[in-house]
Amino acid sequence: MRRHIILLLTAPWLLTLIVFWVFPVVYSFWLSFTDHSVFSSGTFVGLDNYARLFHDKAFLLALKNTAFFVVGTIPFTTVIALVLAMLIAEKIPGYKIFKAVYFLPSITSMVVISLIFVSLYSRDGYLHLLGRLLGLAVPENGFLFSTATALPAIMFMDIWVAIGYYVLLFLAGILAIPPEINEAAALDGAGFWRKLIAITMPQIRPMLMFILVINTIRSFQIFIEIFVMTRGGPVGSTSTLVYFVYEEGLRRFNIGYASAAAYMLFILILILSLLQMKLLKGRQGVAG
Amino acid sequence: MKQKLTAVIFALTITVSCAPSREKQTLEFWHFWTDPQAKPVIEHVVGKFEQDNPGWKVNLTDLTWTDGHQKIVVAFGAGKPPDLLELGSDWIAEFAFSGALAELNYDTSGMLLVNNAVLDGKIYGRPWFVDSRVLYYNLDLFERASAKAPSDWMELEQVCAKISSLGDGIAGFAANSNEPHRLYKKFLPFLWSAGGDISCGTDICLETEPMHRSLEYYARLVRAGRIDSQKNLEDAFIEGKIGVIMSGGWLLQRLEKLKPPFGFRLETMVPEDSTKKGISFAGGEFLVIPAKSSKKEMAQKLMALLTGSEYGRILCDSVGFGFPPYRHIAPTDSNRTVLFNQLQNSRIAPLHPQWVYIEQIIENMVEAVMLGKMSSAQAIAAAQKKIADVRDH
Amino acid sequence: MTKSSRAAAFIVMVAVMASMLFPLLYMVWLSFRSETGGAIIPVENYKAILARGRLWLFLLNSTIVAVAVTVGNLVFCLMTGYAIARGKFAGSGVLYLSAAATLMIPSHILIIPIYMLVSKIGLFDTYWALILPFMVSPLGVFLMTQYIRGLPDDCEQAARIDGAGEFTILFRIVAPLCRPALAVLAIQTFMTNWNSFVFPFILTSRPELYTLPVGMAMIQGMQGMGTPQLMAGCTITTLPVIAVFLFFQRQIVEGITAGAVKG
Repeated sequence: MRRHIILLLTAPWLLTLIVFWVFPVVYSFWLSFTDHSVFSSGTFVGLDNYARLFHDKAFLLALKNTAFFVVGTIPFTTVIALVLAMLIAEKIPGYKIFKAVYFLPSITSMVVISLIFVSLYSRDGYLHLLGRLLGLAVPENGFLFSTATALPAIMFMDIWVAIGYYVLLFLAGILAIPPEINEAAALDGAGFWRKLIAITMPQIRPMLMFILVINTIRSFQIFIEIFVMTRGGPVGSTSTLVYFVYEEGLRRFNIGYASAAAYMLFILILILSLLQMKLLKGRQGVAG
Repeated sequence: MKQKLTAVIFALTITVSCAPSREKQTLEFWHFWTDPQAKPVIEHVVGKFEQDNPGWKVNLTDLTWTDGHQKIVVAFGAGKPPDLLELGSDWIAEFAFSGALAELNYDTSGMLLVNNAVLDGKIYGRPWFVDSRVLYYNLDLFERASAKAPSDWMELEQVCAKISSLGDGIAGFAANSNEPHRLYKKFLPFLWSAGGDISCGTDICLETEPMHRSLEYYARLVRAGRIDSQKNLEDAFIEGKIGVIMSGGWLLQRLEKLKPPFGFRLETMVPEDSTKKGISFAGGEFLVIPAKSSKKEMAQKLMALLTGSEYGRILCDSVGFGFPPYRHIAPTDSNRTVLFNQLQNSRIAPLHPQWVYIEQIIENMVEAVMLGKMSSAQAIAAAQKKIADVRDH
Repeated sequence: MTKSSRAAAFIVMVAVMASMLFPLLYMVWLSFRSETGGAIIPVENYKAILARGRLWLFLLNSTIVAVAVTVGNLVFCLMTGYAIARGKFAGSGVLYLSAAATLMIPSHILIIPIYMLVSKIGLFDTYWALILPFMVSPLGVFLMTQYIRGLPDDCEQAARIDGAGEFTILFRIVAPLCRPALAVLAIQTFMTNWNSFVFPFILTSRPELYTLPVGMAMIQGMQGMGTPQLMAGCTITTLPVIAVFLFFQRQIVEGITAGAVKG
């Protein structure tokens, strides 16, 4: 293929890559070392922004909330999705319908889901009613107006949304397991749980790793739910890192400072993803 | 031959320099009056200005509340602000402190809220449209609770408690949460009506006796009442489920339009006791001229026309609430008179360069106590420390 | 698995299904009720939100943008995939890896630089801002490259010998063979774009440019828009994706698992 043809064919991707991916990453890095804001078009301030972040209580709170969110949702989502995927693979009657319905929330817009749950979580909403009926100590003004329940409520909603998506991914991994292995396990008399832990898990390790990594990346950058449901409140108990970046950068226009926060988040996600990949890949030699 | 040429050149020069300029000068005016009822009034006033000043054309740019602030900030940041600009009262400090606004000169006698735009004795904005916050009472609920209009905080608390005990999802008092820029306007009136304030010189002081009292009181009121977003609370009031709510003139406009089945009344803020005055929050819209504008004189002329008493009343009528900022232009109906009277006894948010952060700290402080997360003493101490951090950064 | 545990599993799965359906059914149910929780008013809420809430405008914008982005992806990802898969050139590996690498970048951290970039170019608050950055998706490049690599290239070689130009080969021979992958890409792109919120939100400020998700988030605080009307708007926003899902389930699943299986 001649060179200019190749250039023409790849130009759109090249342009998109450079303009909307590479350049922003570099530009953001540069901005994080300036004090670009409303009235200052950016003088170099070195590591000032980063230093300030470490003392910024609002940033630290956002960090804490985000970490809590990630640690509190990923295990549940992963385990529930895996078990459901296994059951679907076992072809429990109705599995085709289950598979489809579980997936419905994931294809719905997060804005829509947030609006629905704002209503369900309000003091007149059905989830609140359910809580009262179950005798739980539900907050008087609805789940979103209490610092103790606002973030957990959003986490619960998030788990609910994500399950179906990961069921499909796990299912793809499970169905790719060579049938001989499963047959061997059946011959050995392995039960459902034994099979899950000893056979399936090791076989789907790559898929599990993939799921954990993308779930981590996704969970660390939640924004929509916070913006629509609580705006980071009450008392900042639902503020997350991306919401912090949005508020500082696009509302208060402290572009430099917000870029530093965004970069911190980027590095955090990168480190965690690499760690996860290392941990999960490392043990591959032992299995099978 | 040379003489003829000179004559022709001379004639041409005269013609060119004396010819009426086809090019009109433009004035860029950015405003928030996008309401379909109000926009025609602005266009009318602008039309009159163009008539009185031939050779000038006004370019109107509509701003929406969702992102107007951002657009303005971007324009200033890019060095390309308009010639005349509408700003909310709580945004003036931010722009004035950084020298982005031009100093103004106009007759301030008999005008309200001018001090919202004064920094170091210089005036940077002209009030256009002002409003206050008052208490709305659901008279039917008052009657059901056998309560009368309270004259001090003790009575207010009793009334709200009685109304809350009526059951059926009915709440005595209502407060905002999960929404920035609202709660502080509802809470500060309580602080002020207890004889306190948050400004101490150019600083912000929260560790005061009145602050402790008013914060504890507010939290008690709210805990016996209801917390929700502004929109839900107002909807609930319209449905007859709230006894007392603090709001501005727009709620009155909605009530007049929807004609709910219960009786309601507006009242000025209730003072803590008979030794104090019921003070509320005042805010509104101002017109400012960016320092970078090259057409300041004409902008001031347009500003005077827009904010003058001639069109003020008409503008406010077109949206149904708010007042032109003049003491002598009083409304005629009883409810609006309450709002107007409250306006005479209102304060503005302190002008502080970091107000955006301070506002959030104060709102978080009030929310924390409202939601029972912290005691008022803890919350105030924590907030004061945060304010010190913001100041020192 | 024993019969009784299968029965137990069945019950659990039904319970989970019910909980998945409940919020969505609630949304539809509430969209038909009146604000005061009383009588059922079939289309009042829908009329209200389409007219007063201007949802018809958001619907139009969402359609324009989603279609433009989908078509763009179909054409450009096909082109790129073909070049990487078939054109043996020095940078092909890098380009392929670049697509995979960008998938690892959390896009939300780019909201500030992209906002600044779009503003400086002067495209803020325009349809271009909603379309251009998304016209060539990394996932699409990935998908198409993979797929084309798996195709036998005899028809292409024959055509090349006959003297056909590369673009002709691409669009007349390869493209039809790629129909399954293109279908997956189209559906995946359409659905992702239809629901997308963050970037449309930060790159526009005028209601005239709101897409459905942005519009719904913004009218949440609008006076006179009660929850039933909001639910009507939500239903309108959700219907197209559900319809696409019901018809194209298989392709959607393929689209999701495609990136995962290799990665």
